[in-house]
Amino acid sequence: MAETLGIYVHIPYCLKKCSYCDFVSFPKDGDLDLSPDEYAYRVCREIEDTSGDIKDGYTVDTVYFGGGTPSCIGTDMIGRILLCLKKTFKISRDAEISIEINPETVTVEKAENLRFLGFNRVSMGVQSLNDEILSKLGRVHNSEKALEAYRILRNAGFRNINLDLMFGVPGQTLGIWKDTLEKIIELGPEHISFYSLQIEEGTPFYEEYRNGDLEIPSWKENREMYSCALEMLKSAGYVHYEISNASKPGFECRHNYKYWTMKPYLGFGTSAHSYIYDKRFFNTGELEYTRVFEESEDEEQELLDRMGDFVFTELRLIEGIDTVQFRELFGRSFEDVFGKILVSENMLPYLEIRRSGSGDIERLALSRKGLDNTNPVMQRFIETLYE
Amino acid sequence: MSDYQKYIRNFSIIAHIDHGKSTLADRLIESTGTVAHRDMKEQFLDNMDLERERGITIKLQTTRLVYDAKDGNEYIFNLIDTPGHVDFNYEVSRSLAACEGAVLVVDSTQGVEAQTLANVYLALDEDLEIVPVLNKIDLASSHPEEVKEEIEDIIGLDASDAPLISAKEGINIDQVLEAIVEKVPAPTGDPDAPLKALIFDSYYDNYKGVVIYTRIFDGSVKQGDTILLMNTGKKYEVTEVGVNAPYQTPVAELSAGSVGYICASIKQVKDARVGDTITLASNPCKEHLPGYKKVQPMVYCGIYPTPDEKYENVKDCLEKLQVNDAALTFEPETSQALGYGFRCGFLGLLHMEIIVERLEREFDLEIITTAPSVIYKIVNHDGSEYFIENPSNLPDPTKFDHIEEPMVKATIMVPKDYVGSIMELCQNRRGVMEHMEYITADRVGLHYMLPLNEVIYDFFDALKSKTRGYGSLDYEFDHYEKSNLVKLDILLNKEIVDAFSMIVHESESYERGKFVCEKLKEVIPMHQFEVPIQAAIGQKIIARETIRAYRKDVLAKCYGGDISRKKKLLEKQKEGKKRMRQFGSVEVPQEAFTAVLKYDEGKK
Repeated sequence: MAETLGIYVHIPYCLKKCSYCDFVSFPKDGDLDLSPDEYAYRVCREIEDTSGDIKDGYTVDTVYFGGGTPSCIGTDMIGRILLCLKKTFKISRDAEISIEINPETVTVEKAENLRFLGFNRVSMGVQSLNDEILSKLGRVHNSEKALEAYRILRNAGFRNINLDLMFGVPGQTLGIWKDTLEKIIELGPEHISFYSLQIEEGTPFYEEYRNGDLEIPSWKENREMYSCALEMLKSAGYVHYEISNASKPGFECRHNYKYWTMKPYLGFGTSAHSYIYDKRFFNTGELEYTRVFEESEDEEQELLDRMGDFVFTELRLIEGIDTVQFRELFGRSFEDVFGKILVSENMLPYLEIRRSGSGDIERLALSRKGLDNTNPVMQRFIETLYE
Repeated sequence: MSDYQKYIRNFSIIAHIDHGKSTLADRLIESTGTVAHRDMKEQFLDNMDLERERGITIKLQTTRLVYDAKDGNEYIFNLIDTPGHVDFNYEVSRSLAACEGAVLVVDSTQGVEAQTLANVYLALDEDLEIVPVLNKIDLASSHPEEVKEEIEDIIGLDASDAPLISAKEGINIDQVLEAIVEKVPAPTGDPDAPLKALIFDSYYDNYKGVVIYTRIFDGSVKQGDTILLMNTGKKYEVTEVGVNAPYQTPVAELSAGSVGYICASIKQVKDARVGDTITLASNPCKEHLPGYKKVQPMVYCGIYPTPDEKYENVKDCLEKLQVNDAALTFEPETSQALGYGFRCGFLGLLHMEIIVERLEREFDLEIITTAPSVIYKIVNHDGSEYFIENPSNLPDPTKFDHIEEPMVKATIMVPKDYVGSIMELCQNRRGVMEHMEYITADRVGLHYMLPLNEVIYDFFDALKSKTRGYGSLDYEFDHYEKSNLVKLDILLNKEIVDAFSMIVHESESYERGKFVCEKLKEVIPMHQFEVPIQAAIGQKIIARETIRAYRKDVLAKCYGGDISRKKKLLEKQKEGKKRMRQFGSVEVPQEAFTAVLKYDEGKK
């Protein structure tokens, strides 16, 4: 059986850029170096030109169109790229084919066209169902439009829908957050992502925050919101499987899962990242992008860098690190490399260690307390490697 | 006067910056056929890139021209260049001392400026014959008649027959050449008397050692002579004498009245100081020439290697520059914040900027420079005194009686519409007006006594910005004066960063402290924790800003499989760190050190 591969396609256009967003995206009607149409051609050319022998060695089982707002450009351009992928790669029949959309772009016609093209999963950026919060975030839609878009997607036949939510955002209280969660749970999407707002450099939020013109909930409130989400989702039957993701059983995002488990994926389009044959490379962030390879200093460094990637990505999963996989990948036992941390008294409260009958560590995950302190814990693992 | 001396003219060109001094020099060289037009680079005399870029002369050049005059005789012109900035006044005065005359170039669109006056005074001190020339007459805004009046009124020179020229377009250059023949006196001096010669410049050459530029007043010198430098008392054997025509050309001997160069295997320029007198060891002259002084730095700053730069590299490069620059001094010092570095002394701010820029550009060094400081005099309770060059060395106020600071006499010329705002500026900088005068109906000369400390801190930028570039400034050291000065410390996250310490007048400490805190808040990035920035005098906090805490973590959405970006957060920004300096747990970008010195438009 051929190995499986995930494919990511970046569509860098939005109707308008949100105040917190630092992803690579350009306002669709702005002054652009490449129109969406030209861009789609360029991506197709990249797919055809660079897939070489990869296409023969792998079967694609996940495809993910992210952005930006992929749904804001013509469905024909999306279709052209998807068709190009289908012509170039062997895509398995049960592949998960996702597309990110934003409520303001959803029409009955668009939803049906996307279904028709073969998309079987949508991920919609709802963020909040409170209109004041939405307008503070600089979103184009309001809550009513989000609910309407959800109904349209369901009616068009989508049976696997993710809704993206944000907490820790300006003006949000625990009450407002709870209210949004309740309404979302009532809708019953198969998958819910709940991200903590990150104030990124180069965004309007960053400048406002720096100047003291933007207030966000304290870290304590942020953690209360997170806890509240975990509880409500759990009692509604969702499985919390990654730091910021939960789904109904069997509806975990197969594509994102590859990112967290060192599985190969290829990215096409501006700023898209790839990981294949143990190498990482990415495209630059301009519309007329070029490809850059991430090089480690030497082989020894490369091994350490890959171990670091492995630990910090798998720790994002609630089931934690698979130590058997670690040994298979790197030829060394997990305890051998990270033993120091595993016996450290002050690290233990942040970790959950599961041992086999013979006492060997099988899995290592973040404890509930660890989930609230991901940065320092992960940092500790990475530092151990380079000590 | 010996016969040969009749046909020699030794002169300088003096002018305010940008009035066309170097361009005129180029035309003179070109029209005497000394350098063929095709070999001319713009401004032949300014041969450092930096000089050409800034349009100023830093290092002197001397050129010998041969001119066939209208009277049918052939004249030797020794054109002795002068540096064009107030920092180098002493060098200017020595160059002028080597001449009998000076061509005064005045921009006929601008009129007399502060530096024009300063240079004229220096030339008059040396009893030079001044030949005024009005430049840029090709420009529409030229008003030569008024400028002639200015020259007559302010300087008291007869400018009625001054040549009206355009150095750029080559108009009436022949009139300048003729005026030099007619007006500049021929040199005098006894070729048979004991050697008496003035060093007016020197530079280091890799092959010849120090090359001395000299004016012979009496006697003569040739290869093989043993010369004595009268002020340093050092003796050397002459290996070569010659003239710049315009490239170095050896000659048999240099004798009274001539200008040329001498090489004598001298290792460092500080052994052949500008202003020193050369004589023969075997037959010395009785008295050395007047006016010698050892130049003293006026402005100091710390120069430190960045974390990626080696201390040794900085040291090597400073040594290389010093070989050629007797005015540059440096000594090792350590800063708690910046580690090992050097305290460097300069003639003035421009000199400092030039050295820093050369270190960065010619030598490709990565350095951090700290706030410039003047030399303060500390007077102890028992009346004894000492000087400090580094603000962090100021002792506790109980340990001394008082501090004195250097004062300068400043001449500022501005169009009359700006007088009000410049008087306000000077007032704010603790200046005391000595007098003011109307130079013309439109232009005013302001004479102030100002603390040097205030002048080196963005004064020139402020002057330029408040006068839309029309204001000009010249200053010279005058005296030390008792003053109510305090040390202003800056604390980041409660710890003093010594590299930011400065000495300021008590009356403006609050203002300055606030300004620095605000600037630092702008340039220091947010950290995972709150960073207080405080300005303090002793234990007292006088200003405070806070950089907000900012959590950057891996919880946010990670898109398109971009693992690396998240991982970088965990690797403590391996890459970003390079341009940062770590103070305790606070990271400070390099630009912070210069940002706190910049003139701020919003400030008074």
